[in-house]
Amino acid sequence: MKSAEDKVKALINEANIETGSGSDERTLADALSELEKMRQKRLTRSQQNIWRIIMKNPITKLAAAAVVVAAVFIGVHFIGNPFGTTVTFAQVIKPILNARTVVLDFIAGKEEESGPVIHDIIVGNKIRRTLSNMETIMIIDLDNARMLTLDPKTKGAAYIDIQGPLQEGTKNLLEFVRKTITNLKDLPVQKLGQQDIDGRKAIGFRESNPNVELTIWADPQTAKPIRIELLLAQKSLYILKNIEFDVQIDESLVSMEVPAGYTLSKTEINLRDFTEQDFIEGLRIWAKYLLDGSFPESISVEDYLKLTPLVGEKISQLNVSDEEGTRLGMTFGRGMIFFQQLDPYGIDWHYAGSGVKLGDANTPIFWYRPKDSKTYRVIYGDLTVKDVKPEDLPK
Amino acid sequence: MQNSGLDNMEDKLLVFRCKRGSRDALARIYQKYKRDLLLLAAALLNDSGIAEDVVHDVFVRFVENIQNFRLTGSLKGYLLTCAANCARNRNRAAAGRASIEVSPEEPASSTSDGPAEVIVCNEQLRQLSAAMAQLPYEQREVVMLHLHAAMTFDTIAESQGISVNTAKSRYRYGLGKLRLILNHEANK
Repeated sequence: MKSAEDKVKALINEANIETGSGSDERTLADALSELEKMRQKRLTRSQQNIWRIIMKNPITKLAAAAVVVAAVFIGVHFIGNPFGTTVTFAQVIKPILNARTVVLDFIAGKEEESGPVIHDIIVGNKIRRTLSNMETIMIIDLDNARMLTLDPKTKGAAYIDIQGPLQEGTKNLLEFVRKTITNLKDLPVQKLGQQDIDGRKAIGFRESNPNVELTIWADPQTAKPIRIELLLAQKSLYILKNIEFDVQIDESLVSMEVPAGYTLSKTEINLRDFTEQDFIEGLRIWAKYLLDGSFPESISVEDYLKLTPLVGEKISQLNVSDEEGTRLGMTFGRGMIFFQQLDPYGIDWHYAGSGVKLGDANTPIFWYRPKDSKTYRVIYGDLTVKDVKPEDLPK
Repeated sequence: MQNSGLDNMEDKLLVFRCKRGSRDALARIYQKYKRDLLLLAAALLNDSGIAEDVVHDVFVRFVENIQNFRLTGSLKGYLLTCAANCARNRNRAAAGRASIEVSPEEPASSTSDGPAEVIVCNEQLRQLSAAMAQLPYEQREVVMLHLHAAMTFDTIAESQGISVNTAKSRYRYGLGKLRLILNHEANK
């Protein structure tokens, strides 16, 4: 029996089979196609959840607008050049990139019926932004870092200061459209072949680095991009489609003047001056109003956004004035932005508050090292803060 | 299952990256295990063209289900089990139309309807396939899974829904018959 086993083993070990490259290509193409579908589904689920949460937000309209600003800001903010050093930015800019006006649709996650489409009309450094499932109109003046929000239903208007990182985050969205097109020719490009994209034949190209994966679908006749997909930090997908350049646009559409018939709110939304204190107040709101006195299991941007509807609900239950409700919403929003700043700036942070009771002065719940600081800021369960040397941090 | 720790580590990383949508990781898995799967399917089905289709189906289904996939053993073992299952289904389907067990004089040929591809089998594979084709399918499967995929009889029994004793006896009968066939070939 043993010799038969050895003989068969030897045959197996020496047996060889080689397929043609066409077979490998067919199998890999089909498998990769499935992988792409799976990847898109995964991203869609994640993104849709976030957007569904945001859009169901019952916070007062002004606070909701603040959340939208923060949401659009998520993921498009980078420190430094996301394309790395392989790209020469001094290269000649193509005429198409000098277009003064650009119209595009912007989608967070894969386009689905329930997902909102952000429609941007860009005129120079101004953007008129509308969302498919929200009536609020946002007019963004990048030069002056201000945003005018208009609610056609209530005829309410409000200015939002977007200086600082918010401006950078917003500006980067516009610049990404241009950089993706500009840099495509100089980066290593993977050809994706021809597919039907948005009902048209299109040729696909992809390049990626650890921070961004860029896919461009272009018209095979004109070579103009018809769809751009940006996958940022391996988790956030943004789609730019229906892109048009140098179209005739009425300048009044991007005017920062409050239109006739609208009433300017006295409360100015301030998301600019976010501080550690906003983050701490956000944690207090989180534990006190949303979790019956205990801090959450984890803290992430998605955790924050999941809580957004609850924040609005709780604020309305508190029976506070619109001004106070807006203030609480803004505090929560600023706290979210403070938290969002940590990762992009490479700030070391740690959360350990799972299950800790609000008021527990002995248990650290969160610590982080501010940029260029030698000590950590440690937040305790009673929301007091101490500066602690790295060697004295909680184990 | 004989798979080095390093291989397992690499496979876990590849699966993780695949779940994150990495095309490179998927291509690496394919290149790494394609030959093992082809060999198994070709020996079980005695048709290299259909073996190719089996490998295709295994990889596409692997990706379809990757989100729910948890690598608990070896990736090679998992893929080989999938290939064996897929080959068994093909064999059953073919049995309804015509026997896939072609005569020993026509080993490892291609009856695939797929695009004509150049499939190169060496003499050892032809000899193996021809010998295997003379065994009942169930015996082939146990012999190949034990000797090629290095699966234990316990694992084989579990994957096929049979008792361990049945798996062992199929192996024993199969090997006994293979000995006669190979000896006969050697004496020709």
